[in-house]
Amino acid sequence: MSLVRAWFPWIAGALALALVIGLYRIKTEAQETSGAVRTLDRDVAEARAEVRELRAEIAALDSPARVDALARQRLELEPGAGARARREAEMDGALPAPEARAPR
Amino acid sequence: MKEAARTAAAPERERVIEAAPARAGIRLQAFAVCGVFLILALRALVLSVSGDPVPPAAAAAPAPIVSRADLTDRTGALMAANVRGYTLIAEPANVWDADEAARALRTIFPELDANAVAARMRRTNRQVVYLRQGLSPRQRAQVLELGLAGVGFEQAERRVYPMGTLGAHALGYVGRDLAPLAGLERGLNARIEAAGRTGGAVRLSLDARIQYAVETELAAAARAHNATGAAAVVLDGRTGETLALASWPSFDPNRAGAANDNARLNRAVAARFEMGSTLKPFTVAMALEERLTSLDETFNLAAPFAVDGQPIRDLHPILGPARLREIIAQSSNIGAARLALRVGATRQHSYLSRLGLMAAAPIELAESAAPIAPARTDRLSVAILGYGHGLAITLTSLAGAYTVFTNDGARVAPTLLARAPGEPITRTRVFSPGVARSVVALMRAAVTEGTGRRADAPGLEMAGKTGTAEKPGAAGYDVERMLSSFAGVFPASDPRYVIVLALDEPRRTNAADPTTGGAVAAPVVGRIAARIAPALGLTPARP
Repeated sequence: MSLVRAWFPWIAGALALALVIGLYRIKTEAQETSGAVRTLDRDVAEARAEVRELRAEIAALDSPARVDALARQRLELEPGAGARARREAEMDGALPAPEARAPR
Repeated sequence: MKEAARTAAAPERERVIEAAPARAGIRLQAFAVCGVFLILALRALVLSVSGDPVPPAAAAAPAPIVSRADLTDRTGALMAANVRGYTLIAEPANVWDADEAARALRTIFPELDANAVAARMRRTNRQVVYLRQGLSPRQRAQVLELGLAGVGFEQAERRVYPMGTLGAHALGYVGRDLAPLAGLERGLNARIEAAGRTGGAVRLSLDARIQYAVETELAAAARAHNATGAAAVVLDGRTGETLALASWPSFDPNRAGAANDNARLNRAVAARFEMGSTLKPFTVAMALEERLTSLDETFNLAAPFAVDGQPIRDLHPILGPARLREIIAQSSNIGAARLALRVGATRQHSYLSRLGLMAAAPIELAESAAPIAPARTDRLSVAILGYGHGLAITLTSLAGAYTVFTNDGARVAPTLLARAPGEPITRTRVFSPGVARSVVALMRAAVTEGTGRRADAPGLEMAGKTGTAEKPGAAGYDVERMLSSFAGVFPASDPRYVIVLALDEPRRTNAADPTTGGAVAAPVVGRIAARIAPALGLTPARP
């Protein structure tokens, strides 16, 4: 009993010290994690800003004026005249008759 | 016995007395240890309750916060966005060779004045000098590659309009400090800022494909006829959504400051015109609604007609008996004036108010101009208003009024915001459905056999009315300065879309060429309708 009495303060002190050190380490790790999260946040914000810029660039590349100019220049395409539009059912009459195929 | 017991208990008492300070010390230590444990337990409890020690704001990736939200068209195509922008700066104290640095910068920015930039970089009494605003990230990277000492950047948000001039007048523009200055940027400022805070976007009713078709056809026509200006509006007449709103000449909102006031003027909402005969369908509808005439009534319009001594003439005189069909198809001023006189000033004003023509169009543009309405209600004012004179309105107001022909006689206010599916739409009843349908049939006749023939787009059943209005000058109406227009709906069998287009002061390329609405505005409308039909999902109806 007296042995317990003699060692009790030391054991309790050691436990308290271990807990204090543990708490310190947890807090330190939490701060490090917090810093890493902040870095990730900055990276995410940077990536999002780049995405915004890329979206704007895509919109500029996709703009009807650019596509129209390229279609005329590279493909010699231009807006079709309304008079040339046909319903599907009218296509048979509008298109030339299919050529007869030789039997295989 | 008692004495013996007393002598035996004395040393025991002395031992207890001697041990008392030691026990007190142990108790004290025990209390201290318990206190430490208690503190640690409390802290552990706090940590377990508060959860992750990392602050919640940092734990979750935040939504991108920008001061102004993206603007997209109805299909989601980006029309305006905030991106990172950079200002090129220099710290003169750290610049090694100002001349060499200026020459190097000029390889990226040819518009820079190398001497002026070098002079600025030599101002060593300044800590920082500004060299160029609005750098893109790519330009920033190019400058960084130069490796110039003392040259750096300041970062700030920048508003860009990726489609350049497309929809410029509708979108508007912002200043360098991103303050809204015109168009939707100004009209929807609160909504755009609020959406920006939540990382959202504002979806507009515009369709970039339709807008482009309208702008290119409008610009081509304006140039071909040497017009001083032109404008056009296309609405989904059932919902009031503006699919295209164009004004010519145009400008690039990315460089709005470089454009002049004439280019920046939104002629579709800020310019007011006496529209002329495009108001005649309303006069006919008023007379039909009030049962003051019928589709079968015949009029003798060949005889000279004057109101209060003022003769009223027709550009295309109708010599035989005329019905409402001929009055609309041949655009008879005399017929419209006679019908307007039957309607009278009070009812005419009431109808025009319900058509939305006596107030500014309630569209989301700060520039939307209020009409110049006639103060007089004498017979002559009523008669000339019957064929569209004496009331100056905007093209957007007229387009809004024409929605009565796409909603069975009810009017819908035009909007530049995309409507959500199932969103309730406020409609103002103006005419009965039967009257609206009858007038659409009359307008269809104007296209098939009247002044608007050239607006006919095969299979799209255009129904509309031409307008040729002399513009007022210092000495009365000027026959040399016209506003030539066309307003219509299509397809006539189930009207849904409204199109209004006007050319301001078109000039004759030779003496024989007319500059009437039927000659210069109607063909553009026909071409636009044919071009935008696929985007509207319309299949040409053929007999």
